[in-house]
Amino acid sequence: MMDCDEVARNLSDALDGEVSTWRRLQIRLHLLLCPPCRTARSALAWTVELLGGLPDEPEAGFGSEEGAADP
Amino acid sequence: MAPAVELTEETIRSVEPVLMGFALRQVRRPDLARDLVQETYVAVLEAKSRFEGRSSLRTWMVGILSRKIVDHYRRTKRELLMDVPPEPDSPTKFAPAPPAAPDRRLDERQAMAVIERSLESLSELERMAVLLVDVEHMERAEACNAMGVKPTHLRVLLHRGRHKLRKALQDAEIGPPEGA
Repeated sequence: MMDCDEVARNLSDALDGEVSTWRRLQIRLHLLLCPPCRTARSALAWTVELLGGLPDEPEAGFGSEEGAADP
Repeated sequence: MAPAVELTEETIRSVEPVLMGFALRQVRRPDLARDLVQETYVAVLEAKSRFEGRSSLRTWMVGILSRKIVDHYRRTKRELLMDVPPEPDSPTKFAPAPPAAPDRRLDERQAMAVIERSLESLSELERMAVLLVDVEHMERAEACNAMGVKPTHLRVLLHRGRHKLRKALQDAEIGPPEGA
């Protein structure tokens, strides 16, 4: 069975459906039995959801004409 | 036959906010963002016969802009992550988040503001990976092509970028809604 570290490493891929069926089942089984990993999964999924809702343009005043100077 | 790309004023006006927003979030400088978007329009005019319509015009133009930005990084940065093999993730590097505190605030506007600010803390390529896949909803294969990276590298960039943003929300004590 997968441990928490392995689940953490695969969560991002699992959210995008980029893991095998067998690995997805292993992750789901682990999440059923592990509340901290369930919380991590929810937090990561919500983060991705928030990113998907970012407006096309950031708020006015974002960035600087002299900011983030190139090395 | 490949569909024609009508680069009309209306097309430009409709896509410009998206391109400017993407460039600004990536390079953080309005003057540089404007230059890169202008370069993108030139490239679109030159490449319009190669637009095959498999993705939307928006996605196609964001892909071209991404390549312009990566070219800019290559010209101006001594070392770019893509030139350095990604290190394997250590088992404790992205430990699971602690259980949500009962008083964890839920405020989507604040969360969005944290996300927006925290994008700056990502590396250039982590930021681009997240912007392409999670904000622009680009397929991973297309994002790889836009960034000039292999799928395994994109995987690591997405993993790190998303987890850094997730941690930023955690540090701000902002969590997902109950039952999410």
